[in-house]
Amino acid sequence: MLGFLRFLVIGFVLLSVLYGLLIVYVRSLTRERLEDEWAQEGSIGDREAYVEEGIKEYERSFRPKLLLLVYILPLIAFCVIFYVTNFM
Amino acid sequence: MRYAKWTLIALIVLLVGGFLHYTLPQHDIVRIVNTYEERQDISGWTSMFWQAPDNGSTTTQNRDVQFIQAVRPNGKSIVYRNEDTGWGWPPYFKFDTANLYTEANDAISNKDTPEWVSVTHYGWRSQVLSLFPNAMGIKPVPGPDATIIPWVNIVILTFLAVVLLLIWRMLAQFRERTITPLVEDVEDAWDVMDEKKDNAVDKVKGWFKKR
Repeated sequence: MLGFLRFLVIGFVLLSVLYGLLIVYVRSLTRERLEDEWAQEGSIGDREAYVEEGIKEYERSFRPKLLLLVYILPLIAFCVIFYVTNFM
Repeated sequence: MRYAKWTLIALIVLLVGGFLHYTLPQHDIVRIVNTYEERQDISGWTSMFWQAPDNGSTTTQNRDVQFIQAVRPNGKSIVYRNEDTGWGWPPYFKFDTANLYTEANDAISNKDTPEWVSVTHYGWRSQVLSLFPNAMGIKPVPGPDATIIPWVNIVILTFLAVVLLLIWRMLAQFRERTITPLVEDVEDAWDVMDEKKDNAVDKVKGWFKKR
């Protein structure tokens, strides 16, 4: 039981680190894409405002929630491994 | 310097490769001939090649371990240990040691009527260090030269490659978006400082010219 708890805690911490890194990385990619878009559209208006607006829109969309798969996929993998090792 | 670099790279490849070779599952096609249980004194540095003691028995350094004896198609022998991995490393979550022992006993066959099985296992056999690979599963196969496609390894190695690629891309992004602008800022600051210094020097020179 203690082993299970340790496994759970360590797994959660590691996945949280990965989750945090991915959030920062994807946001950085989005920001870069928005900056390029702004330049392609002819550099109209304030660059900062355009990018901030785009970031807000990104955060409202479904895509950042997809990063929660970082927690869900390992959970599924764990269930599959557990089943295959012990019950197949 | 070049030798040092290549030695380091070779060492890293050896370490990572060895780790993967030890941890990832492998399949042996064998004929199981016997099983036995033996008290093992698990101590010293090789204890890391055995499972960690159960909770509540952390002080005991010896315990009974199940073994599965088998013979390969070429006549060479191989002995597996049969231990729970539990929640520990490597993450196979094996709890069915007793069942596997039963299956192994059920699959015992002799030379005249051989019954070939594929034993999934991880770990290394070392006669000198008394190391045994840990058996994970037993599956009957039609013959001694049946082919087994290592799907699990394909998936895991592909996944690892994707993770490495992701880390590389993340670092590149971090360098491009965070480090480079920072360096440019510092360079700009230096330029401003330089200009100020030049102006000051010119001023001082000017004093002397006037004189």
